[in-house]
Amino acid sequence: MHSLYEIFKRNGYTRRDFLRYVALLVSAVGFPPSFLPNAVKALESKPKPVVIWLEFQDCAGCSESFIRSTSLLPADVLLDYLSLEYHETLMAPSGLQAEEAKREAIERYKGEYILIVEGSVSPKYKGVYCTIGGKSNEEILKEASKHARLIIAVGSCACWGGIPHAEPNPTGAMPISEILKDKKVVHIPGCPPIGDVMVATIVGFVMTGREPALDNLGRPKTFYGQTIHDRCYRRPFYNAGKFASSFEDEGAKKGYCLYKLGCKGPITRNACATVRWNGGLSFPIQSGHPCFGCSEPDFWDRSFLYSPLSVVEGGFGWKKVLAGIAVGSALGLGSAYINKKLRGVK
Amino acid sequence: MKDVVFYDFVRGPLLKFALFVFFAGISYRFFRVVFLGLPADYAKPKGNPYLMAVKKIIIKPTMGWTFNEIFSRRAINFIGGFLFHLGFLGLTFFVPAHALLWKEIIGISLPVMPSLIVDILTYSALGSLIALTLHRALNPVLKLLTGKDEYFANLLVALILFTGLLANKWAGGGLYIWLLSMHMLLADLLILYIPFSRLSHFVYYFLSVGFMGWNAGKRGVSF
Amino acid sequence: MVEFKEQIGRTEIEKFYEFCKKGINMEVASYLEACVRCGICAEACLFYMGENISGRIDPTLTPAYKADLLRDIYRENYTIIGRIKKLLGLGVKIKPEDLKEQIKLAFYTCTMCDRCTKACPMGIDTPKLVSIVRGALTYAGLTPKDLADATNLSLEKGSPLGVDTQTFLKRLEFISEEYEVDIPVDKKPAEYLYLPSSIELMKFPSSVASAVKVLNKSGVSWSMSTKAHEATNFGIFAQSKEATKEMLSRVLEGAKELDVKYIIAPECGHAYQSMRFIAPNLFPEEWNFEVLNIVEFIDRMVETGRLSINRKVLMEKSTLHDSCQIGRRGGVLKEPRRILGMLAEDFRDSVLIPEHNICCGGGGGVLVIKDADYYRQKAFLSKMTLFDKVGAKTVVCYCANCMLALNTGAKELNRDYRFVSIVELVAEAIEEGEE
Repeated sequence: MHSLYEIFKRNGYTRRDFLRYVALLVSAVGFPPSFLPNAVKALESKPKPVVIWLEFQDCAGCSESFIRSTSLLPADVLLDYLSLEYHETLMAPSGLQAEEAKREAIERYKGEYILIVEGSVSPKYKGVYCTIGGKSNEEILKEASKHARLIIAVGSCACWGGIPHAEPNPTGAMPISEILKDKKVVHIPGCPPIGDVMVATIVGFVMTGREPALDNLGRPKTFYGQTIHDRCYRRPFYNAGKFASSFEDEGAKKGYCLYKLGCKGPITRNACATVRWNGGLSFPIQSGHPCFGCSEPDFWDRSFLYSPLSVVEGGFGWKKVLAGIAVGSALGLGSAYINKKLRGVK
Repeated sequence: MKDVVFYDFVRGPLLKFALFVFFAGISYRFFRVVFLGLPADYAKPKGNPYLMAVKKIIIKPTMGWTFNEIFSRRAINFIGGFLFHLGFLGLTFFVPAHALLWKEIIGISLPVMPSLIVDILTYSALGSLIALTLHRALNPVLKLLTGKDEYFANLLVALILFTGLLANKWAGGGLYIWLLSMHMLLADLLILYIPFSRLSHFVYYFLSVGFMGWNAGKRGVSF
Repeated sequence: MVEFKEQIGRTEIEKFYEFCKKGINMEVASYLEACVRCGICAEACLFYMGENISGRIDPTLTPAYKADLLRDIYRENYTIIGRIKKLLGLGVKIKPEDLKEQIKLAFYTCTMCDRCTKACPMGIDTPKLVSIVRGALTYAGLTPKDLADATNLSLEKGSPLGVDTQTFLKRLEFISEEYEVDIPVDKKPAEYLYLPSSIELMKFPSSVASAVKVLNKSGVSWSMSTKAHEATNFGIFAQSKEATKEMLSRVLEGAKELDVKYIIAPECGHAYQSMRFIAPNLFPEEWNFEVLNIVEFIDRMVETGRLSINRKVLMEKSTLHDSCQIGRRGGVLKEPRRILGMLAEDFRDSVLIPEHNICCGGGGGVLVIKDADYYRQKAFLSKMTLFDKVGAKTVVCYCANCMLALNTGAKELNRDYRFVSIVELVAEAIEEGEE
């Protein structure tokens, strides 16, 4: 099997190029510069990782995002290096041959391959909503995960259930971690997640041989440790109370904070504001649209995408204020009446 | 527990419950006193009691300042108290994020303050609250008058100001949501606590200062 | 009758509690609820200030603390939490010592001067609260001995100094001979009824004579009454409604008999207070007189041109002492200053705002209570700071009780202040004008 360095060489890159990219990877994964020699050694010697990519109730958007990761590795190297032994959308074979290839890969790379799952699982009615080659998705997942070295759930569907899980959830969609309760799952949520983040997580695993540091929801701390709001370049406008009130107004043109337009940045953990999209070009807020928190659990169900956050969830309104005052006044009147009775006449 | 679930709880059901209890509670406390009634007063007033009552309610906060010798002995109370109330009320209503909240609660858009003024008010309110609390703990008169309630209220308000300040200033990574939730949780607690404590003095201000002005008008004194 | 008991037992405590409970209305409740425990009132209280000047701090003199027992009783009977506590047996437990303390707080160290109200950021009328505590103590029969004696004496004989009608007439005869004035008694028809206070009558007769001179000079038809011959009202010191009403009914009777339009209260704080603001509520139907203080009367006469003051009679540096019940609580503040401006060469006001003036320390019956002497002397110390601030040795007063208290204080502490009555100065000025 080829190591990353060998693939670089084969594609006509110099060792200088290789070192440059390794340095970039090390910083992207969030390791200190002192780790660079170790990383170089690992990527020179360790064989390329074997990846089995399963898709269930998904839209293939995460795969699209993955293959468009351009900033960490050159495109030709990337697809060569991360050898997708099985990927329903990308692989050439189909039908029984494809299933056979997967079985073989699992057999051959027992305990070594990385299992990536995209899309939510639907175990309802014995998996009738999502079957491949006559097998239910739950069965496929259990089978593939048995001997996996590392399980990565990509996209909000695989991590939290995502859009299939949203009300009323007709297919009984659920995150894969609920099926694989006894296994550790690395979550890379997002709809879709940033391609570079997926690549960096996989390469980081190759470099260290360990899964990355995770938070309590199983997300890599490096990429999901901070909220969008924390790192948003429009944060000063938020603090100053300068908001865009509609997509057409003066505030929107001036690039003011999109909070009032329903930005969920303050409660969304993702790397959009730092890593950004399309090779570091932009991210939703930069292009003038509020973040709607796609990487957070149940983002679709929390409320209307464009309703702002800080308000009372569900609204309060003057009617309830008046109702409260009316109740209080009635109680006060009653209390005063009783107290006056008990006080007696002076 | 997922932080966002907690966050949704404190700004959703808990806040709604707190607001309802707050509005019902303070109006209960207000009317409980109002409906006790008042004996009729047949003495002919020397001035205009009603006008004076309104006037006093408006200008009373500045009246204590005219007592030079009291002011010189209790400058901390006057200046600290003034700064604290200014800061606390200003921040409650006119911080951009809070203005949105009030829009949702009472349906009126409030003007917002620039962030520099927000900062100044926060620091001055927090500083004066600490100074007032220390004064409360050290002054012999206040030691006699103070109970646990006062310290609890001061602590609660100080924590709210502090978490609010952090939420505004500090990019604390993922802890930001916890910080924000904590700010909101404490604020919910404060809103719940107000009707049950001496913090509801703001409704009695109108009654007791009104009566004071009414008496002043009745007696024909200007002060 | 007002009682004085040494022993405090169960019945007394129950009576105290009952009275406090009944005394609460909207105004009192809002004062009790509004207190924010800031303690600023302490700095406004002349007793606390006096202790401070002599280097001690007595936190129990804080006005807010005086109402704390009342506040506890209020909580227990007017709030849900208080009621629950009471049911659980965590209610107020009043011990005899607590009532002794209340006597000290309400009777010894409060002159109901209202200064704390003006300083209080919540406008809490502490005198109103103290008056309820006083009333409750009186109802329980725990009025301090000296005050109870004086009150009973005035109920019996018509005056706290034991001046009955005979003594009154004798005294008037003496005054009219001594000072060569005509005093009309029970003369009809009269427009104005003048009531002297027995303090003036017995201790400052010249003050009465001066008032008579001023009244005669102004040319109004006026008279004194044998029925209504006492202006002071010790009932409101003890806060006994019955005693107050009894004493005021004598005034009412005398005024009705003479069919006057105006009642002129003498230089006495509580007399003015009781007749101007309390009597109309006790006799809402019958009390249709206009009550004027003598200072107010002089000012009115000067304004209408019936009296003219052209001479300055007070040459040295002087300042004014305001009577709380006439001034701060009665609204007669501009008048004495206007008059004094005409009388005095070098008048310096000791306060920027008249309402800030400090009480003499003897009001509210504190003067007659011997046990309160220590506190009264301390209060005199704080009063003195104002005199010393302007550096005046001559102090003009318009309340006989204040004058008595200040004189006593000055004597006890060996200070050489001279206290003069404003009416005497007026009488002097108009007399000299004639010559």
